[in-house]
Amino acid sequence: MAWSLRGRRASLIFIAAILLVMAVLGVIVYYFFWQPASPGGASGIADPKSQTITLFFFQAAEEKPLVKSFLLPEHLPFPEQIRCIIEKMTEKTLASEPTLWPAALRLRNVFLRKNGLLILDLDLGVTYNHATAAGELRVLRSLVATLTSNYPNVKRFKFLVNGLEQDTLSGHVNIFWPLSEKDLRP
Amino acid sequence: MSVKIVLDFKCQLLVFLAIFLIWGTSHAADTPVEENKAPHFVVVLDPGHGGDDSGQHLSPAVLEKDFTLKVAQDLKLRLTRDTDKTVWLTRVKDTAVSLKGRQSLANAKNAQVFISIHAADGSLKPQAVFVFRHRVIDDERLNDLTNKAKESNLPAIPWEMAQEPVQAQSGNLAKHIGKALESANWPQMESPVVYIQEVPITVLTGVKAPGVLVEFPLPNSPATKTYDLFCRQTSEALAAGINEFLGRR
Repeated sequence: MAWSLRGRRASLIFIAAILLVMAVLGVIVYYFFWQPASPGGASGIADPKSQTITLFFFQAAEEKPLVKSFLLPEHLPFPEQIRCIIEKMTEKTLASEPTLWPAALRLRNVFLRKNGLLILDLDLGVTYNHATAAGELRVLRSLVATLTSNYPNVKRFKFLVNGLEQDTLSGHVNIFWPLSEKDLRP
Repeated sequence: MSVKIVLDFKCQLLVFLAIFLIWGTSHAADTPVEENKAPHFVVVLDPGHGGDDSGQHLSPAVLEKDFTLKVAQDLKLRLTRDTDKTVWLTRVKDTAVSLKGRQSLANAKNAQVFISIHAADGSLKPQAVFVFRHRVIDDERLNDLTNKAKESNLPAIPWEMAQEPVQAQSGNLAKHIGKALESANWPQMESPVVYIQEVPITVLTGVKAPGVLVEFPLPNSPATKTYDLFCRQTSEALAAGINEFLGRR
């Protein structure tokens, strides 16, 4: 009986000692050897590099635009980058946030010529928007300023609707000829 | 057998007088009559949108195309009170007219003033009135146009450059209209702010006359009485601006 009591105590002490050693080892490993995965770190899976895109939202009456920015993965091909930017500009998450014609401005295709002419082919839905002259100017100016500012090699813009040349998007501002940022500055 | 017609002196005189009178009257018709006539002006008003193109839905009951037509018709009445003006509308009812068709009418009627009337939902910017004048293409674009015209043999340049000779006059027209609109007494709008801006506007591109596009903020869901008053005040202010411009040309 006496042996069994002594033996049980010894085994308890032994288990406690093992747990203590494991805890000490755990602390040592955590502090000295454990490194959480960091972008581009030693984890082996690096996050893609991102570039900051600045979005400009002009109010037709005011000279200063509202500015927003977001991170765009650099590995995306150029047309996808433009598509992302337009989606971001038309996205409306909060009522107070600036946005451009949600659900109306959709990009079908985009081409960049060597001479800096960016051809934006928009979906036909953009012509059903019933915008005002001031609203139309605001959208074109915001889009042109954003893309010119983030892509310095883009000099002028040619807008197409469903692949065809159009006089206007919504009946007011002339988009038949290529436009530069300067042309839309009132 | 020969027939001899012998006319006596009286007959000869009558024939001579008849010939003289016929020649005289026909010649007189060709000669311009010099009169001290007051100058006569041709004004072309362009009620924006129309037909399938309703423009903006200004309120559940008011479409932009209806507002612009109402203002244009009222403005025509005001302007033609003075006999020195002929006023044409690019549309007189709810029909679709192309943007090129509107410009062509202004040129065909030899307009001295062209006003395109538009409206916006005033709930967004209740006090902002926009007066747009056309921005004529710059040199770089002119080169592009020249090359394109050479390639395609199309008369692209004259249409695009139509506003260039009257650019300064369009600026004056915008100033006079802006000034008149600033002092307009609109219902539900205290001290309107007029923004005069220069951008490429399609409906003004090919117009040879001084021209502007004006956009008014209609009060949100106005009562019929307020709506009528707003239309009247708008046309009154436009008439004042046009008269001022024509008086000071």
